[in-house]
Amino acid sequence: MVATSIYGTVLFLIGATLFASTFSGEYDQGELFPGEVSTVFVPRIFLVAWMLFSVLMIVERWASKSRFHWPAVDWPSLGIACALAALIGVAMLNVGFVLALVPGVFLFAWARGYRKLGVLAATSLLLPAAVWILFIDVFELALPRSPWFEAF
Amino acid sequence: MLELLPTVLAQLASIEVFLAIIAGTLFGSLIGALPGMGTVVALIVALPFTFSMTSTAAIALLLAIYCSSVYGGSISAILINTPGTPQSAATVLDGFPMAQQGKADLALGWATVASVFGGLFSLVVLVVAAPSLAAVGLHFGQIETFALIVFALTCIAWVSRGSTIKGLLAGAMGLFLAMVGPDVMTGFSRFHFGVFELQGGFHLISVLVGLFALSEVFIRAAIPEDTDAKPLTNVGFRVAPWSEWKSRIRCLLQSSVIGSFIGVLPGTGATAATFISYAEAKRSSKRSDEFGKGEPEGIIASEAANNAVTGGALVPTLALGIPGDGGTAVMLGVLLIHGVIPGVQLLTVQPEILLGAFVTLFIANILLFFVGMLGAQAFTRLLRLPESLLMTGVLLMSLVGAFAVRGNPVDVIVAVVAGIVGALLRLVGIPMAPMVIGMALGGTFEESLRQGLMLTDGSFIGFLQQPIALGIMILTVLVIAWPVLGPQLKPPGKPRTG
Repeated sequence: MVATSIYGTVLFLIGATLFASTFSGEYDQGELFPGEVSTVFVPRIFLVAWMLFSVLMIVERWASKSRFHWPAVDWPSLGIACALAALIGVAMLNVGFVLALVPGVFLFAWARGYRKLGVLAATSLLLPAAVWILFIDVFELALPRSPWFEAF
Repeated sequence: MLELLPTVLAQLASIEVFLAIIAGTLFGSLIGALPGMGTVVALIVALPFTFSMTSTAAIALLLAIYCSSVYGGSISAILINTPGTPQSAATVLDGFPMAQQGKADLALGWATVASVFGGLFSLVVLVVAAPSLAAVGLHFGQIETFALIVFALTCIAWVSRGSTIKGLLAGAMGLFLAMVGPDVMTGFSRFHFGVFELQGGFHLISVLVGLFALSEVFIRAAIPEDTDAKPLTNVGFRVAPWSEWKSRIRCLLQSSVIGSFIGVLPGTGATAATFISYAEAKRSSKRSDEFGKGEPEGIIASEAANNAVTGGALVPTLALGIPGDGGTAVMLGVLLIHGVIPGVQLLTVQPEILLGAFVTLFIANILLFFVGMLGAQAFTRLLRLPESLLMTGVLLMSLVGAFAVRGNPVDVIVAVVAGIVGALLRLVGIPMAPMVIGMALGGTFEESLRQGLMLTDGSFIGFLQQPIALGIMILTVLVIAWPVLGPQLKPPGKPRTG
C-alpha cells in the first residue's frame, strides 16, 4: 500500500510538473485560426490523464481489500545491474564497442552470479568479437569505434 | 489480390529471404523456449540484423520469429513445467503432467501439430479480414482514425495484465512520450527542456528496447528466480495416431477460431487467447474431468489458439497501422524504418506486403513442424544455459540494437534509462505494453485529433456526427462499461435445489 502510494505520488508530481511546463511562454503561439489548437493542447490531455490515473492508482490500492504482494526485491543487485548497464552503455559510446563490451560482458555476468571463469573469459572475448565481425564485416552496419585503434 | 501471387513469390524467391525465414523460425523457437525471454525479446535481439537487410528479408525474419517464438514457449512448458512465453502458460496445465507420465514426446507432438494448424488457420483470417478491414478503412478520415485509436488504446489498457488503471496510466505515459520532440503539425520542438539531444524526440525502437528487453534484464537481477534444474523426461517427438486426433478435431478448430479472432482485436494478445481457448475447451469437452491431468485437448486448446493469434494480430497492424501487442509494435517500428507505412494505404499502394506476409507465415508454420520434430533434444540442452549468461547476451544485443537503429548515441542512453524506469514501474505492476503502444500511436492520435478539429472548426460535437466514428466511440464506451453492465444483463442463475 505504501509502495503504491509512493509510486502514485511520484508519478503524479512528474505529470504535474510537465503539465505546469506547458504554460511557459515558449509555447505561446499567439493568435490561432479557427479550429487550430495550440501545440500543447494534446500533450495537456495526455498529462491530465497521466495525473488522473496516478491518483486513481493510489485510490484503487487503498480501496482494495486484497494485499498487493510486493515482490522480494534484491535492491543491491538491481542497483548494480542498472549501474553496470549504464556504465557499459556510456563506455561503448566513448571507448568503442569492443573495448567496452569485453570487460562489460565479463563484469555483468560475474555480477549476475556466473562463476565459471574459463567459460566467462572465453565468452567475454568471443561474443563481442563475433558481434563486431558480423555487424562490421558481414552486414556493414556501424557500431561505435575506439578512438585509439582503427581495427575496432 | 491473388493475382499478385506470382509477383510476391518472385520477390520471396531469393536466398536472403529464404535464409531469413529459416533463421527466424529456428531462432524464434530457441528463444521462445527459454523461460522469460519471450516473443518481444526475441524480436529485439534480432532487430539490429534487419537494418542491413532488404525490407522483404527483414519482414520475413521478424514474421518467422514472431510465429515460431510463440510455439517455442510450449517446449519448456512441457519439459520443465515453466512456460517459455506467457502465451504458453496454459500449455503447462496438461503438457507437463503428460511429460511426467513418460509421454513428453507425445506432448511435444500434440503441441507442434496444434501450433502449425492454428498458425495456418489464422492465415486464412489474415488474407480475408485484412483487405476487408482496409476496404472499410478507405472510408476513414481523420475523425474516424482518431476514434479508432481511442478504441484501440482502451482495449489495450482493459486487457492489460493486472490493474486496468495501471494499464491506462502506462498508456497515458506512452502517449506523452510521443509528444517529446517536433510537433507533428508545426515542427516546433516540445519538452526538450534545453537539452539539445531531446529536440528530435525519442525513437520508438530505443524506448521499446529499454522498456521490454533491458527492463527484463534488470527485473531478473532484482527478483532472482529458482534456477534449480528441473527433471527432464523422455524427450523426443511423436505424433499421435489419427484415431486420437479424430475425436479432437472440434477442439482444434474451435481453438484456432478463438485465437484468430482474438488476435484481430487490438491489445488482446496470445496470452488472453490461450486462456480463453483452454477454458472453453474444458467447458465443452466430453473429457473435461481429464483436463489438468495430461489431456491432449488441453495442449491443443492452448497451442492452436496462441499460434492462431499471430495471423490475426497482423490484421490491425498491417491494415490499420495499430499494433496489438509488444511484438507487433516491434514489427511496426521495423516496417517504418524500411519505409513501409502500415495502414489503409498499404493495402492499396503495396498489397504485395500482405500477400508476402501470408506466404512467409505459411512457410514458417510448415518449418515449425520440422523444428519440433528434429530439435527436441537440442532444446533440452539449451534449457540448461545459465540465466546470467542469457541476460548478459540480451543486454549486449539490446545496446547494439539501440545504437544501430540510426547510429545516434543518444538512443543508447535513452534505452538504458527506459530500461531502468521500466524495471521500477514493473515492480509495482505497471505493464509496459500499453506504454509502448501508446508511444507508437501518440503521433497519429495527435495528428488525427488536430486535423479533425480543423475540419469541425474546433467543435468536438462534430466528431459525433460522423457515423463510423460514432459507432466506434459507442463500442469504446461499451468496452469500458461492460464490467459493470455485463453482470446486470446476464439472466439470473437457476436456484440450487437439494
